[in-house]
Amino acid sequence: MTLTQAVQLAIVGLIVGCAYSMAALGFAFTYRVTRFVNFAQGHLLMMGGAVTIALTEGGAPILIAILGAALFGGFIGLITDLVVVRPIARYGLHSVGIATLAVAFMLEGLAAKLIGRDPRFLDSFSGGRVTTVGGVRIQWDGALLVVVTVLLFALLGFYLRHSWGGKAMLMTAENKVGSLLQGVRTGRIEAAAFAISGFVAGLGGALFAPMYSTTYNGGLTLAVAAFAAATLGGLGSLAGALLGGVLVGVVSAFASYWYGGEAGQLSTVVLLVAILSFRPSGLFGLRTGRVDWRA
Amino acid sequence: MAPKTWLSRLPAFAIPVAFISIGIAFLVLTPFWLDDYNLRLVGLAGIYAILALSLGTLMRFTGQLSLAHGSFAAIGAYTMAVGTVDHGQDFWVMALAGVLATSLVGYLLARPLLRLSGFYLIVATLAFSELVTILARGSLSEITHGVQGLTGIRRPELFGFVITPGENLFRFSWGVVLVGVIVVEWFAHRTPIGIALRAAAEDPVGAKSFGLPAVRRQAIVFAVSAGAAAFAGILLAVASRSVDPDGFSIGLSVSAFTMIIVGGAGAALGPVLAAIGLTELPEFVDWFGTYQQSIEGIIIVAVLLLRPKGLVSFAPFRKRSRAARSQPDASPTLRLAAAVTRNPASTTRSLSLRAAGVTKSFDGLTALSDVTIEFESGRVTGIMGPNGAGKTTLLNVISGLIVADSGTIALNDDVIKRPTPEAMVRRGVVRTYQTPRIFRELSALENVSCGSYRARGARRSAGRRPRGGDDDLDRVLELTGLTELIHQSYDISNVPFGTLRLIEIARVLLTRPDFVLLDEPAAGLDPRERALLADLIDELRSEGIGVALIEHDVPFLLSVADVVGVMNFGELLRTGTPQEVRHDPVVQEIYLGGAHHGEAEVVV
Repeated sequence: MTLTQAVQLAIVGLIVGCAYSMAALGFAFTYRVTRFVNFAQGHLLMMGGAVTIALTEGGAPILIAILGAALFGGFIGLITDLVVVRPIARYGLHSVGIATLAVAFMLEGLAAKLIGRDPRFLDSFSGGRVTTVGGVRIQWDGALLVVVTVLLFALLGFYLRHSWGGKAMLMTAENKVGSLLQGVRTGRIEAAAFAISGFVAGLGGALFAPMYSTTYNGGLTLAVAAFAAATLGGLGSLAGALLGGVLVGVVSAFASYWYGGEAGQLSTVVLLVAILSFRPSGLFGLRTGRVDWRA
Repeated sequence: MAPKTWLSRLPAFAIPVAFISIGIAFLVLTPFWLDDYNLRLVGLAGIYAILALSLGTLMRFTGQLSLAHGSFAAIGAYTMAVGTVDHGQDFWVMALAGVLATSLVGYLLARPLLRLSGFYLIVATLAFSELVTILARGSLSEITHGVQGLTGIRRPELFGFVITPGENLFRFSWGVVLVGVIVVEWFAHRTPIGIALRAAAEDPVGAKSFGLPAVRRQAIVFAVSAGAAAFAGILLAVASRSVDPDGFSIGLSVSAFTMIIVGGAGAALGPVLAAIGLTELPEFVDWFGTYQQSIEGIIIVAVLLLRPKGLVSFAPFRKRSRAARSQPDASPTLRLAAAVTRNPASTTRSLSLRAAGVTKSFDGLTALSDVTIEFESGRVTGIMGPNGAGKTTLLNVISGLIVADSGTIALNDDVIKRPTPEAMVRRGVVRTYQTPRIFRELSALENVSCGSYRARGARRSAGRRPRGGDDDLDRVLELTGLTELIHQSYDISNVPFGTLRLIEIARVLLTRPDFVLLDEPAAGLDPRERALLADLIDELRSEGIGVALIEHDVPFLLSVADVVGVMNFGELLRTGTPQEVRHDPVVQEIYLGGAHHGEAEVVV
């Protein structure tokens, strides 16, 4: 493998990884704020693509279609919190996890209705334009996805640290009851966390759609990749979700180069099982998944 | 007393006997009134019921859930199919191989993963399920024949009957279900390990107080459950005579899961009944197959929203315990006739439990600083001190619940290298908690009897009523004055707080301890119960058990303790007899504040 090839693979991995990050952000964010994981995040990424494809086919301009996909994701996220997560929360983590997974399977049915059962691609935003830098080809569509991803993470990070709303979110994440007593409307905060997560996943799915075959039942694979990303980074950490996503993307790009297409998917799964078995707190040690045994 | 329902007047064996009779009648009679087509369907439902039972069993005894059971079914089915179709092996040999191989995979998967909490295990099993699908579709396609899978699986023979869909498969699958339900229920209610596991599934920390090595045992449950799922997979392959990756994907796990949600995981029977409904459903709703997973998603959410314990609520079983809802008319009375049983090996020796130089800080806050304290057999050592003095932290360290930054725990000068809660219970050091650790899913009697799980040197007693046989249980119940209460098979949620404390203490005594650490046992007790507690502690002392007693109620503490240690800000300031401590100026200063300069005693 030449250096150019390696850089090329890394860039492919970066692009795919950014899509994973967009879904992983939702895992991390909802987990951080509400202690619940929305298992539908992978499916929301898939739905982003499906909705964009369906809207453009219906004649909508591409920008409207992308916006529609993002809003759809946000809407589903919001509904998931209000209708599913909140009423079921008192029955515990497992029930909520399963309920959001159930939402994910409902989305599969919806996706099958929207785009049918065959894999679909979205037409390129840029007409397939590619810039070559030192022998390395960079797709414009991919560059757009990377730029938007980085901007979104930066924006969310800035919002959390430097706005009242963001600080209220961090407060709720830290101590819900305490925040409630301070007058934070934690219910709204939690709903917002789900909605933002869904919005980001929908947008990510839309931007990813020209480079990825959108399939009605592809959400689970994306969910596994996104969860691997979020866990690698330490579940709950936003920066971790971004880095983890890129790491998963790059590893799977190299794996498929060396061992064939399937190995990419396989490497993601193996990465996830390994990280859960040996270092569930993530590579950067930001969060922990182990039960706290303290009385 | 509330009037007893007819159910609670039935003898204890009535329900199992009734269940088994109905089950056998179902097995024998159904083929006579059901046509062949529906018999095939119900037979298929039986296979799903086995799968649901395997998953439900896992959830019940580990408190965890798995989305890998569809994959376990796949591993079993593929092993059998590859062995019989491609290599001409005998069906039963390959079926056994498939079950064992899957159990092994399950065990290896569970050992690292069961330590994870909540969501992580769901995700890990989800990932495993993806892994199996990817392997079956592609990477292992030379063995698995890729997307096509294997066809032409021969139907096996058992006692001269070929297991074909219809009557034979119906009898076989439901026979397995019937035996499975009986075994699982017996395990859950009549074996110490089953009761202990149910307790640990609900509250892992509480289960540590009687020394259950939870992860190790749960991994075995996981392995057995995976093996049962593999068996279901093998039968599915036999019924359809084929195996392919899509039939055994995550969808199968979700179907099994839907049955659990609909039927409720609390008892083995629920998911089994749900399996019939969900297998019959596609017959009436023809678009069900197309949108199966989405519909199952809707069913799951709807049931969780409307009936979170499942549609089948087992009213008769609940009523049985509700029969005694009225407040206990006899609050416990103490009869000091019986003796607590200590470990026979250590009854004659005098033991000492010593924490030396223990230091522990949390994020820079020093909770314990160089504390050295010794407990002895037959002595009650009280530990007092204001809030935040480090009393409970000290108890947590000694009982192995948290690891100290430095310092050692030694039993008779034997330094314990890894003081885990299990290790401490094994060595006879057990504790109670400030808030009693009570398992809501267990009956009152089971809440006590699970303590016998690790009873040292004793025959383990299960949750049977203590009639004859269970000497330890009998004696402990009598000592704690719980005999009457327990015999009325109280639903634990109606038991008053003071009695819960006694239940926890009784459980702890059942482990045959040498040292009992009590964390504020008098808190929340009324005067009568306090007197009872003081008598109980006296009794423990006279039995030669070493008692460590943390207590905020200073008069109570001083009246029962032989030696008292006074802590403040993580340090052990004084040790002495109650009399010495009472008059100690330092102690008075701690309790009455620095401004006080008189000869007043600590309020007694």
